[in-house]
Amino acid sequence: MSHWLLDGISEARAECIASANAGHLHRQLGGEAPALDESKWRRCIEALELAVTDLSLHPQPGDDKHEQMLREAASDAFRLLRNLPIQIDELAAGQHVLRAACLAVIGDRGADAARWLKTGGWPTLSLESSDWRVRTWASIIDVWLRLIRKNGWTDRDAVLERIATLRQSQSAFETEHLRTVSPVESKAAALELIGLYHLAKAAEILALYVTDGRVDGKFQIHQLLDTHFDRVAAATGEARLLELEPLARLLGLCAHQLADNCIWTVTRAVNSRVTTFVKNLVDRGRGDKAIFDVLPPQRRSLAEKGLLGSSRRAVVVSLPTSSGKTLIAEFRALQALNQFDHERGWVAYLAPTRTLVNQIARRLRSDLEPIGVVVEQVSPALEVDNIEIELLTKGDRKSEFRILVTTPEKLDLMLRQGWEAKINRPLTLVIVDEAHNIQSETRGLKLEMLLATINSECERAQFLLLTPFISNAAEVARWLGGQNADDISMAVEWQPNDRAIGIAHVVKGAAMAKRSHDYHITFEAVHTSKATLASNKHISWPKIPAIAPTFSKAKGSPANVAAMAAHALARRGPVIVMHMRPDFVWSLADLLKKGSDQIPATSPSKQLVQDFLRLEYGASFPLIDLVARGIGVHHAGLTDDVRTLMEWLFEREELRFLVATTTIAQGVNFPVSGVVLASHQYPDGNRTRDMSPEDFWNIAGRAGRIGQGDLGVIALAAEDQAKSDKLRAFINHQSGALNSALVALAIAAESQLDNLESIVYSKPEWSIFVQYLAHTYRQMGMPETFADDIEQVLRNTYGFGKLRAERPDLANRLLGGVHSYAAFLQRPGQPLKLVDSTGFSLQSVKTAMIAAGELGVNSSSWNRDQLFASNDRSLQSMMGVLLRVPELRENLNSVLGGQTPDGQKLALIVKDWVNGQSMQQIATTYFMKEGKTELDAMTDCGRQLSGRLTQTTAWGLGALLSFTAGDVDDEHMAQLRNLPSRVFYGVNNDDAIALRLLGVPRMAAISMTSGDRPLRGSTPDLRQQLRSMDEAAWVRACRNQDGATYRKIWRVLEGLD
Amino acid sequence: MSSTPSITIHYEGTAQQVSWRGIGYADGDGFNSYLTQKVAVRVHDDEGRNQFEGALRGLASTGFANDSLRAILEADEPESRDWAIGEALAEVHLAETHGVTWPWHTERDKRNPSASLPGADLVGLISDSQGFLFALGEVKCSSEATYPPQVMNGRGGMVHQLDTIAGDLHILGQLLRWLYHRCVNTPHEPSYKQAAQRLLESSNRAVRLFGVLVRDTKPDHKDLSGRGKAIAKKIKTPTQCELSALHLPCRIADLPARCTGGAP
Repeated sequence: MSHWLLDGISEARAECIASANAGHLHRQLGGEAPALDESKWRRCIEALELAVTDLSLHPQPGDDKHEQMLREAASDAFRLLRNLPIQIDELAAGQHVLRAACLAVIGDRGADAARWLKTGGWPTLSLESSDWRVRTWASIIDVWLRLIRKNGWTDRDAVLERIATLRQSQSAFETEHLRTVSPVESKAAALELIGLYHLAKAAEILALYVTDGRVDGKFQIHQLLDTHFDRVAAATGEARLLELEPLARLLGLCAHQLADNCIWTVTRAVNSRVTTFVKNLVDRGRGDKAIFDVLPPQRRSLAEKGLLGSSRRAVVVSLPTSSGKTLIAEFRALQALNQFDHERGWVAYLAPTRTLVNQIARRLRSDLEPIGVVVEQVSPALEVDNIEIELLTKGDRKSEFRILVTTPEKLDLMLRQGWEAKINRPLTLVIVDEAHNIQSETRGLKLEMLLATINSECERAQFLLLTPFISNAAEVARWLGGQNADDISMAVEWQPNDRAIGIAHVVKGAAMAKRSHDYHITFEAVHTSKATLASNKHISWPKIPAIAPTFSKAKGSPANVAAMAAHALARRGPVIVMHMRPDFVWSLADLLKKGSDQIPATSPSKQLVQDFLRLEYGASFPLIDLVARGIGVHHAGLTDDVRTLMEWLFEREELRFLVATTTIAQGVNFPVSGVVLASHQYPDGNRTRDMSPEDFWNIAGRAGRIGQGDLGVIALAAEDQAKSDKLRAFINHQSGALNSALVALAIAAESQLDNLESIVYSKPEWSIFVQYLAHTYRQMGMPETFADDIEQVLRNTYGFGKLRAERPDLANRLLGGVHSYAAFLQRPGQPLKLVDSTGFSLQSVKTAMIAAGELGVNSSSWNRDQLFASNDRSLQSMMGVLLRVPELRENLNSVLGGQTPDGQKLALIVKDWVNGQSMQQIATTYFMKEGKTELDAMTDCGRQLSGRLTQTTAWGLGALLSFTAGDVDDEHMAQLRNLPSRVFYGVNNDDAIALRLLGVPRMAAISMTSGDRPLRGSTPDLRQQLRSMDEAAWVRACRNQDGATYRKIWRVLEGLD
Repeated sequence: MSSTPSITIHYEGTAQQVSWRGIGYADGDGFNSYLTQKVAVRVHDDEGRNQFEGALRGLASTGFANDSLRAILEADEPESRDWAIGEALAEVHLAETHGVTWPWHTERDKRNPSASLPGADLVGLISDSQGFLFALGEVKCSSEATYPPQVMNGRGGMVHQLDTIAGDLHILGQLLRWLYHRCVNTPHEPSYKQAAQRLLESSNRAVRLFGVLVRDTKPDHKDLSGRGKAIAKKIKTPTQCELSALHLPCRIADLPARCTGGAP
């Protein structure tokens, strides 16, 4: 698409923007900014602004390209204007800043403008000038800049106050001012004032609308604004007002955009629940927590694409990271709840990791509970225990949960166990966060099959899939919703802030003594597919001798480069530094510590976390000292609680560095200033594999928004040229269409596709697929024609369609295998029900049943008081059974480092864990290895316990319980049902399970429930109790002084403090 | 009766892209009707005169008072504005001799708060072989018997002003944006677009500058020649500049009366 003005300046524009980007980059990261060609810049700005005006006066409704051209022109004009020197005259300077800010808003860069104004402010304006013209202009510039900056309620209040003051001062100053103007100029002066007064009124209208959603009882904000802007035009049309008229026209466009961005406009007339929610978001105190605006992607989704008014059954929202997808989901959830209010429908919110489940549940609870929507989370443990049963089934209309946050795996098991019926209210919406995981080799198929199952079995269910940008969102949406589907995608045209992605490497310097060489680090911001800032001029960062004294030492490892790059970036704000494995992470943290020449001041938050670490890991745990130095560590070897606390400190900018494994890319939900990657890979068994583009852009998307300026920097560390080249290719690896994990699985299985009966023994990842077949067969009433129906069943999956398109040969082969499998399912006496209740494949169920028989596990093995006692052997036998189940085997084996299966040792670890041994004790007893340190043992123990052993054992025991204790009575069964959760949470009584579900740290939960007066109650009651207990009450409940620390920690983990 | 006065070219000269000439108007019916018919309509813009109801309307809804403003706007325009007539004379001259069109050339254009940007006295469009260009002009009136008169020199002088218009991107940008709203959705829109495009694509050089000096003294090439050469050193191709000295057959001070058909 072309435009008469833009076409002619396209070359100059590209040059100016590149030079502005490079300048911004150098100013932010050190080094001298390249000189700018001011006259070319000004010409570009004029052309861009004229084009913005021209495009807006010649609108082409429905033409996205027209709108995009307008927004890009405005955004580029802003980019140039904010980097131009500002005039000395205060009004000219103020007008310059206001013009830039208006263009930013029009260019959908309002958030950037707000940050720019928050950090840089604007020139001092003579709001009290005795010259009425100056005073009026100053006030107008000030109020409009505040409307754009929107520093919470403070700016909004100041706007109203300034305008009121201006009105009050009019009589004292205006007449005198007009008298002093020469008669030939007085009419122009009067007309200018009239225009300014209308701008004041328009500002007042906008300020009121932002917080109240109405002005003088009227909701039609655009018409109200038009009234005043039209009158400004009428006044300026009567004179040559070169300053006022163009600026007023620009303000008019900006005001309409501000109104469109307003959360009230976007959510108007949806339903009363949404209105109450918005009111609540706006009213969040006078701090900066109040939300007045939506981001452009949110506006696009909610208003322009009509997500809120839509009756689409499946919607895929594919937006860049940091687009505010959670808020979009909240609105959609409220709409679904409203739609099925009569039926008291509920919403499932699925997140991939335990950490994200916790984060999202906290966020939803804090946002939605004030408006009476009960949010609960269930643990990712693959068993529904008594506490969860109560939480899911109890409660009246007021206290019953309406949103349930959990992992796909847990929901899958719940639905297959018939929980929708037990809850007795319909599942009305499934929100899938990070839905691109559908192509994950390890967990993707489960998610896909879950969605397919819900789609065919939950009558009311609708879908909202949230993904980073994917190119085939429409295809995915159609899979779930057929014709009744929609996709809302935004690729690269919007990003929340500027970003630079580059490679940091070591550069050889002058010769030093003893044949060694000096060096420095250089950062090369590279071009990427996503409009990141690049510069041909490299940026130099100093060497840090304490990390590496010479060139040869520095280039020895990417960790050295990463540590020095991180130090350079940390001057701007907190930095996440990533490495591949937990042991590498510890070493990298140590390097960062070496490079720190001073210990930052301590703080109550840091001390609290250090106290907690002492309680959990002992006084010598290295993280305690690292935290003192402003370095946090985050990996799977640490408990969830500790990881959450690290994030908490980091978000509060109390840590300079958060050193994490690359897996954090999936779990970060907060902004960072910089990201440094010592590795761009994940460990994959004994090999490594590159982080997916989605994960890379997910973490890259978090960079920016805090610290100095708004530039997010992502530096990938390269120790040599070869690595540099590899990283360059990696950065430009495009994230493409979302695929199904089934395709990769089918390619890997190839010949085994013919024999699905035994495939799980060598390829346990196929378990999910064959379980899906078994479940569907049972669900369809085990029809004799199942073999013929199977193709239809397969069509319910996304993967089969993809496979047919990509590898028709394998699709046919799979179809053949599925036909044989159908015959297998139809054999008489198959324990099909157990497939759903256990989450095992049919073959695995049978294997486990045989093993249980051989090892003597039966109903009498289950004794609540004995199972975890040291002298009881039942658990050992049970572990022996679990070690034979393909779905569990690999995880359990790897706990002990892949050695020969050792059920006895696993049973001992589980018992110590359940009986309250500390992590340190378990680590030193079971995980010490020759040549390894205690820290290695603790890290290994942490990873194995929370990542593998407890979850896998809890799942396995739950499954085993269901087929070996079938003959126990209900009362006895109810007692046994919590045993798997004891393993999951590491506690040995049912009261403690409830506390753990509520997020109470393990040792505290044990203390609080093991005395004479254990803390008890239903989950909502307990949560309330915990919230209202003061420090003394926690100390009493814990029965020692540690209660004070635990209380504070719990409140932090709950998001209360 | 013809409304074209007979003219005499007293002197002419050029230096690079600058040309100048001194033009004398002969007195008589031709000149009289030129003033009363062509120039006067540009000064007495009935359409633009005191049409302030639209601007005042609705001011009450802003919560600001309108009494003082109404008083100012409803007051008569100052009577004696020979400089305004000088500008109108220049406009007519440039329209007739160079085909310059004025998209918004009325009374309203002269209302310009002194505190505001200087801008250009005259803003119009002119065509050449490649299409339209902006025509920007400065007008000065002087009865001073020095050659050149003071109004040609110094910071407020014509030369400096022309140089500023051509060289100050800020001013030029303001003019460009302001003029856009005068031309959009009018027959001038295509010409404006062409001129804007040419201006921006030529590094702000595709523009025509005019300096008009209204004189009631004897013609003297020194009025323009020295200044013309000075400007020639400052402007760059393809900018062109034309300076004209318009020598009246009457006193400048008499112009207001002559325009209304009054006796000299």
